Amino acid sequence: MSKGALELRQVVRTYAKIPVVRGISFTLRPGEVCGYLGPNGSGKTTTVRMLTGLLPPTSGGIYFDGSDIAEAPMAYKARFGYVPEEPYLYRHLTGQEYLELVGGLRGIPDRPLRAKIHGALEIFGLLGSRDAAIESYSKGMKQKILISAALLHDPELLILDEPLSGLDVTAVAIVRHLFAALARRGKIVLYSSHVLEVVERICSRVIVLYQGRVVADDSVSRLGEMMKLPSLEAIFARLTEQPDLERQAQDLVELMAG
Amino acid sequence: MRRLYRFFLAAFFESDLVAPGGDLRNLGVVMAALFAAPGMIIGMYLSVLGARIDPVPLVAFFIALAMLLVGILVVFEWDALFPSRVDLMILRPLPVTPLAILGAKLGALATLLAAFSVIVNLFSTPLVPLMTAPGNIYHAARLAVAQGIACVAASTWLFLLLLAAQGALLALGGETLLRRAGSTLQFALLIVLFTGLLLSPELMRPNLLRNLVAHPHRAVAPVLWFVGLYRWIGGSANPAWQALAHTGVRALIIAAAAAALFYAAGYVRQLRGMLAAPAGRHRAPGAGVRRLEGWMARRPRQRAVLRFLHATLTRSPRHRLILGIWLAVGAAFALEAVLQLAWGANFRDVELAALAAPLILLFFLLGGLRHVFTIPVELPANWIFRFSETGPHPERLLAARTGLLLYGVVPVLLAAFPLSIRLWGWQRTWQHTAYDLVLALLLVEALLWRFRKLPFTCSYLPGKANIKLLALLYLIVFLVYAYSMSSWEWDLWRHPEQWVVAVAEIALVVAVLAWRGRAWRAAQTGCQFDDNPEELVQTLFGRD
Repeated sequence: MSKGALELRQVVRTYAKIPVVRGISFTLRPGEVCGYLGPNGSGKTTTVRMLTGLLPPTSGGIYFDGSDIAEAPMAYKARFGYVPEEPYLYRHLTGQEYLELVGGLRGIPDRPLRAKIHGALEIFGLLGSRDAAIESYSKGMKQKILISAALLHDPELLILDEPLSGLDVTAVAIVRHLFAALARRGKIVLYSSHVLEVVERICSRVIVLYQGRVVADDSVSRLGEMMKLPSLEAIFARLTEQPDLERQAQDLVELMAG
Repeated sequence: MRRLYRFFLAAFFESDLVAPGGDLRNLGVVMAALFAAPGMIIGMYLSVLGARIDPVPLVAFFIALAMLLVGILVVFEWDALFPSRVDLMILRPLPVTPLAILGAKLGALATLLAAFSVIVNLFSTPLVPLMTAPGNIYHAARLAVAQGIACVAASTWLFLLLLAAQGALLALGGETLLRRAGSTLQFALLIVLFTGLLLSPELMRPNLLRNLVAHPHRAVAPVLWFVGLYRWIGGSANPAWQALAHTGVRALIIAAAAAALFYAAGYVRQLRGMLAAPAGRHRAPGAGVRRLEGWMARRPRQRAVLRFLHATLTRSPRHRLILGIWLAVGAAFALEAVLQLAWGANFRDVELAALAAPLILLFFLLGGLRHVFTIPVELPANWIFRFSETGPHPERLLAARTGLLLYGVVPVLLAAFPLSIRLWGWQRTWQHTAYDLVLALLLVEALLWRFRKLPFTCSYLPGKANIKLLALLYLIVFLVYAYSMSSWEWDLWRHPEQWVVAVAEIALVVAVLAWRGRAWRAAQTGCQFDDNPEELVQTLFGRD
């Protein structure tokens, strides 16, 4: 295994004996931006829980830089940054205070922390709102705070769960370039999302999960060539056995119309 | 409309503060029993004494009790008195008129007041006249009606007055003013109401009521208005009581008019401002506080937790209210002691009360802080504390201790300092402050003994401890800590050499506890977030 890689080996997770994740294996190397895709219930969030150390695998193992993350969870936490799907933040704090809290908890001394926070707020256009309570922020503003917080300690691995939801066009563009810049610095970016167009544009590699199993793991262009399909959306629909979506929409309209 | 009315009525019992476990039926039974208990206990006591006692002071006590309990109810339900912004955001897009929302809310408020009045007066209203006027059923019934009307009128008056106050705040400054001034008002009210509760049994002393009625400024005491109403309806021809009764009726009418006016104005303002941003800018802590925090918490992790603690204490209404209750009870005890002594005590007793006051406040403030630390704020947001736990980091745990010192010990000792100088001069003030300081440090170490939580970050609400046992323990410690220790201090002043030995001994105990605490913290591998660490307690994610 290469230095600084994240590796999942035959990871299984069951809830009340029902398997949700059924033997996932893959390796992410430094410099990779990987899209992690799957329909609802495919085991995506469970994998993210296990990757963040919140949930132990029922069997199999997760290794970062050659070490089992279960053996040294504290050391592992210091090396990854995380942006959750829901913007759970302390609403009574201001944006600046939240970032100070996170930076402080990460043990970053005051002076460099202040410089980092100021820079992040400036880049995301939040300087004018830094003293406003987070409860008055829009979803996009909260997302920007979460992304900034995840980057404060310069992590080697970045795990993002729908990080672009609610972001404006400019911020999306910044984040897209950010992923590329992080990859150039040798970071691993695992990007879980439902927005296939963005994944197609951002990620050098995609992993598609279906019913708890990895059903595809390659670059979008190679998958398209192999499956002879024009887009990631078509590939995803084929791999995850999507039914006739247009028909389903029509059925719903007719149902509601009585 | 009826559905909405039921929704608003249920909302009174749904806050975490009122029903932490969400068990409404149990909570209702416990609260009803608690509020009805004084009437039942005194009623039973009267059945032993019979007609030998004058019922008027008793009725005065029950009128005061009804008022005070309704006042406390209003403070607890402060955020539910008006339709909230969330209510309006949900209801306005639906085909429900603003008038219907208002009607449902007012109906729910009226039901709450009525149910509460019935419970509080359930036993006292029939029992007091029956036991003190036996043999004459007609007269007893008339007195019961008079007492019932007087109690309900008194509590309604206070209820309307507080409703008008909140309406006025909302009408004048919108939700921003209500949040800022409202919490100060809540806190002030709690102190007044709890002090009143502690002092209210004094009204049962016959001489006190007689003296109050004979006082030229008797018309400023609301309790007397409604005692007057009771006497007037009960058939008294005394012009003093009649005049007080008339004042009471006028006050009730004025309070009703003010409540109607300000409630309507506040509601209109609420409707107009419902789309405005909910909160403005937060004031950052002053440079002095920042410097003090930086001095007391030198490492980044400790400082981060301490600043989070400060922000939560100053901004979370729920935590402020709970802490306010603790502090208000403490202030009430301290004030009660001082007032009791002011009504005819010798200098030794005054000195004892002054010595005990800071210890009483320390006990309740530190106990309150320790309690609110275990109540989570933004439960799903605590993931950041878990994710940033990248080592043992005992300084994170140390922040709770620093918080108790900074926001508990320092303010009380600073506040007590000028009073001490005035009473005893500089030298004795230093002595007294040193004595209080070592006792405060002792309490801090005791309260945080084996405390492995970060303030406000638990994934569960407290409440699994044995409450009865804990309450008994707290009561014993309180009595020893506040009263025995102040009495001991007073004795020690007469023997300076013993004072030095005593303070040194306590300081030694504190040092040993602090040393053991530091060793224990250093041995911990992490903080405690879950009560029972299991998968289902994870709070970060929704479903897969």
